[in-house]
Amino acid sequence: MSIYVVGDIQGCLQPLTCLLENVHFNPDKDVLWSVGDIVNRGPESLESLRFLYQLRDNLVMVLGNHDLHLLAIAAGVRRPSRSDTFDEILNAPDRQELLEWLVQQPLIHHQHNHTLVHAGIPPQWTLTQAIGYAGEVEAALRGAHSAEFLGAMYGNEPALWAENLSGMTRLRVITNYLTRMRYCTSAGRLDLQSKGSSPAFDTVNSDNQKVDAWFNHPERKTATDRILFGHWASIAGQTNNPNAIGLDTGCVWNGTMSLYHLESAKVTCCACQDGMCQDQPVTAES
Amino acid sequence: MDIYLVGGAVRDTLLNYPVVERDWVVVGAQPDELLRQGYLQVGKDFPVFLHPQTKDEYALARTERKQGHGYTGFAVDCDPSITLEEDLLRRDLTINAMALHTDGNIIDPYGGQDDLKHRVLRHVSDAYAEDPLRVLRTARFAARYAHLQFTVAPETINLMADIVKQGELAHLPAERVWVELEKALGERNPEVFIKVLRDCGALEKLLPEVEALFGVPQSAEHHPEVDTGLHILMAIQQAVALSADTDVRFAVLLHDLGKGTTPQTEWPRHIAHEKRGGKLVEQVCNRLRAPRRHTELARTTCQYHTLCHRALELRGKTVLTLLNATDALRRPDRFEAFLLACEADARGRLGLEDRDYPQANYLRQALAAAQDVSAKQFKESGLTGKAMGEAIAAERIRVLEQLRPS
Repeated sequence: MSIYVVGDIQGCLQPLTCLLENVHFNPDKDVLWSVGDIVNRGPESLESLRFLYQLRDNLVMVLGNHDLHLLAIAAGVRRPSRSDTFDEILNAPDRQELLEWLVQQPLIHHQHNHTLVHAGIPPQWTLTQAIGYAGEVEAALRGAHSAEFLGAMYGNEPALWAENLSGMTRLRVITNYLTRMRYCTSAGRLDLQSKGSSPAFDTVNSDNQKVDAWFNHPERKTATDRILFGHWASIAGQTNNPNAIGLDTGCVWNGTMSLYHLESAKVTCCACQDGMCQDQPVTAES
Repeated sequence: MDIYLVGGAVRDTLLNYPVVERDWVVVGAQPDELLRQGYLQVGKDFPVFLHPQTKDEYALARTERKQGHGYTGFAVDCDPSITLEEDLLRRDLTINAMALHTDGNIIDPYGGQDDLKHRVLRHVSDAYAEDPLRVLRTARFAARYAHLQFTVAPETINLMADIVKQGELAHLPAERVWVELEKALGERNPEVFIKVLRDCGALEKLLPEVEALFGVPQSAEHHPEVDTGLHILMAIQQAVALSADTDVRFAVLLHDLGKGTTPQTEWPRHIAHEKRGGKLVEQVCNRLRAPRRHTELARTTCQYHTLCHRALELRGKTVLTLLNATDALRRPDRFEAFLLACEADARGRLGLEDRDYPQANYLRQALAAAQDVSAKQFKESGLTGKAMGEAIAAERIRVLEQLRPS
């Protein structure tokens, strides 16, 4: 059995199938992990969702911000923006089945000494804390108040975690950390504006705060945990940290799609153009 | 006339499961023939008889047609021309629709043996929908045989969901619902009963207060499983390990109902959920016409389980308040059941299934210590009435204070 971890798919199904063929992925014994953001922007959101749904018994995925956005629109608590490409899913005859499955997916998955999360884990949280807080959002998503949560999850505030936060505010900051974070301060104050592709310790943001990529903070409590994440296409997987494995290499932005082999730590990539694989995939040490 | 063993006895024999009761079907006979042989007729209009010696039930092969709503609205036909296959067709699940002839042959027209082999609970025919109680029965069979890996067939879950959607459960008398719930709580995996009811949407109709717990987060610090509904399912499984009594299991099922009404702004904390829960427990018990024993234990557990968890930190005075509030001095048996329910709550949490629960033994000692202080000791003091009561309480507080862990 092998475990392969794919970066953000965002409706680019063809590169995914191309990569899986290249590594001889066998759905009878191999397992695919996805860092989330399986839909939106790319050409085949519905087919991507269906593909993962059909693979569900051999799939582990965590929810990304685009997946949550889809659920919010489907629940009728949010209007799609002009750049969203969800119509095909929303009009699909199997929409209910697909979305009922999607909403059951976690925000964090931890297994085989690896942690799968869409954006990251803030520096002040231990892994145990992160899993517990993720559980709160997962419970809210799956329950009767799902739509209320999906409506309330939008917004950048509060930017800083506090244990005594409660209700939707608490769930919002947890969700922002796990599915939207790129930059934050060493204390874990979120900076959802900065998106620069070369994070460094002395970066000062527009609010005059010292910020850095979440995985760069030296005191980070999960520094020794091996974290697989996506979400941040512009760094193209360059974290300079063997324990922070960035897998969003921007397939939907004419970058590449990455497939990480858990056992060997090798990455197979294919170059993409308009959501289509352009070349034979290439495998390299990560 | 042919006689067949039918239903549960055939199923459990094939499963190597203990057979509790034997039901028989008689084909090709008139009521007179059975009465002449000494059988006793059970009801006037119902073709069911009791064997003169074994008291087993013997029923004439019959068909039933639904008339109106609910589970009583049936027209029964027991003409001697009705075949065994026709009789078996009206039954709920294929594994319950097999017959064993007195000559040893198994008659299995609907694939019951196959479903037994594959561990599937599957409805026999669309006639299943004629009795909404079958939704609960099927969930109960799932609870009963979960340890043998039985699951409900997807098409049967769909049919159950249709029955629920048509509002049929509303026609079930509360007493029948209670009987099924109590039986289910007595099975090995009562949490599967709740899960299956939830899967088909019936939990929302029958126990909306429990349904409301799913999707309500708790703090992972005390509840690593986070979801309150999940916690309830885990706690029930712990209750099964601690007690065979359905009142303990019922109390565990209802102990956190208050968390379903916590304002979302307070999540994941559940301030005063014990108090809010008490009213909901009353509501559920009234609706289900639950027996007093079950109602009282459920209410006590709901209101005082968090105080029980904190037992080792409580001052002597508060321990006495807990003993009085739970009526422990007069009802030590119920207090014991309360402690078991609280222990199940403490263990029904992810990764904490094997934790110690020293609170229970501490409170057992506390109860014994408080019981040792009695009116007899104050006979000589000349105190009466209220003053005597106060003196006893003061002495109890003193001994409970001494008992406190240092």
